[in-house]
Amino acid sequence: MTKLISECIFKKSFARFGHNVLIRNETSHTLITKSELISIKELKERGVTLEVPINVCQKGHNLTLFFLQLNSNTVGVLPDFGHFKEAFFEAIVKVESIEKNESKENSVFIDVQFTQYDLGEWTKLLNLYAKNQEDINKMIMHQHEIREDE
Amino acid sequence: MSVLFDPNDKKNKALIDYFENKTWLVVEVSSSTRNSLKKTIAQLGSKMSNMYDADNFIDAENLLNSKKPHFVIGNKNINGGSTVSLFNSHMKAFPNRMNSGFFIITEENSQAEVALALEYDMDGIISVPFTGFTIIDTLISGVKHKLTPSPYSKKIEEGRDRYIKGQLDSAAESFQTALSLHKHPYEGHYFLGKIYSDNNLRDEAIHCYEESIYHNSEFFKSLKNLSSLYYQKKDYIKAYNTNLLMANKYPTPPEKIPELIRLSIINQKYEDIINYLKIFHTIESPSIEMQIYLAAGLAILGKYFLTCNDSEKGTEALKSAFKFSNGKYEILKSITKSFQKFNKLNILFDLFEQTEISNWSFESQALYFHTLHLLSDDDQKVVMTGEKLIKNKVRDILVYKGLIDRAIKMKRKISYMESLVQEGIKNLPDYKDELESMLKKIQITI
Repeated sequence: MTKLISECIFKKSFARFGHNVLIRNETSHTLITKSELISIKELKERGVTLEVPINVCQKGHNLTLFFLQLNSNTVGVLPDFGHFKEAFFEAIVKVESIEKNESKENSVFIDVQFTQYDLGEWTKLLNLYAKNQEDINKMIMHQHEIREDE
Repeated sequence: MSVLFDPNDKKNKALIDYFENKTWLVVEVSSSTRNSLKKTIAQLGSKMSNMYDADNFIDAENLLNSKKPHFVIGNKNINGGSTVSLFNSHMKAFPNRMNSGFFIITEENSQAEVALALEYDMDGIISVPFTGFTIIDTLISGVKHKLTPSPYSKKIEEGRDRYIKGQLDSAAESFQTALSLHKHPYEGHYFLGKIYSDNNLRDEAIHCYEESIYHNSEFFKSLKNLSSLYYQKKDYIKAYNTNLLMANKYPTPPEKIPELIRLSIINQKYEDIINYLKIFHTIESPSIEMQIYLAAGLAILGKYFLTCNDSEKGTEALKSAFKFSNGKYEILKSITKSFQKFNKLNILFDLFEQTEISNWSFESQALYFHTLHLLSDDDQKVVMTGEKLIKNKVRDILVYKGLIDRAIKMKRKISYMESLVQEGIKNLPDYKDELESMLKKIQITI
């Protein structure tokens, strides 16, 4: 056990977990390059739910999603076509539904379905989030393990 | 990671039976997400017809009161409030938690959010973005000890039920009985500690929490309450050591930073103090909430270093505190006091001049005025800044005093100063005597 509070409080506490997403709308030929405007809400077997600014896309549009590490340097400009080397995962998706975000102005939730993606890389990503959640669950419940040993 | 949950697998029968007749409140802004959550919960055996929806706080609260759902699962931040605020009402509706639970979905994707679940004794916290697996894993993790509760657990829940209903004597009896039902009855000792603490019997409470920790050195709530009581008792070494135990095992919520820094200073843990300063600068993309707590911590560090004549570190810490303050008045006030006490207001002035403060509260902008008034020869600028604050009814006596001082220096008409005083008395009636006395002195002098 470390002997100083300062040596242990920052190890896990404040490190953020997750990824950034950038979007290229292949239908309207627009780019959304401010990752702070895009949040990933839910990861599904073959798609995601995102919170994005209004007018990023319409239902039926084709998008390319670029997943980046949180600390990645996005100085490189998102290209108008093709791959983006900063992204560790890319998927071409179709917008299945759009729902207004009643709790935030000018924001919508979009459900997108993958039409082209690397299943292996996607599974890795899902496992990463599952592991993070598992760690959170353990942190909460581990303290009670002694109760279950009778 | 869990494999896909199979409701037909015999080993999951106890779970399916447990959830079969349970009712749910699902609180989430997005209907698509609510549907995903409900479909996932249905895999565990609950019926869709037993699930109630809400997309805002008022509806959620109404449903909680009218339907009294066994389980609540909701996004921490919803329209009109926070789902966390529903926790106490849910606890009152179901004080015995064997057949109920509360899960929060949080968009703050750092493990510091775990502290929320630990503080409130929630059954789980789900990080966004979630998947079907993560929801199921978390729900199972939160309820598995409730499927076949032991006599000890049943007695603890009986005690908790009585405690929440205010039946403290009978609650204490239940917890006392529980002590003999398990080799390590840490929860029994914890709740007895709580009852003593509620009755202001601090030493008895400390003894119970210490017993609890003896049986389970990881039990968060006993550690937390014990550290708090040690701090109150000014037993700072024990407070530090208890917090050290917690920090080793659990993520530290940002709001604890200022308290921990104070403990390090009181305990003269100089290495801690130097570490904090180094580490604060390396935290990547802190949220605004975190920035404010970091700022509070840095303000304490800055004052400490200046007091120890370490001007360089003190100034560095206070500058960082200013940067992270996001215009929060209490932090800026502390920074201003430190800079003023150590004759470094010019540094603060430069910081203000380099910052866009028009979005700050008028109280925070008043601190800029105060610095400006003390340092600047530009009478017009001082007066313009001050008058804008008066117009916006800022409640800071120093603004009125500063403007009156400048008006005297600029030899303004007495009627101007009288109107300032009148305005000051209107907005700050507590300072009526002081303002009238200032005006009398001016009237005699002029």
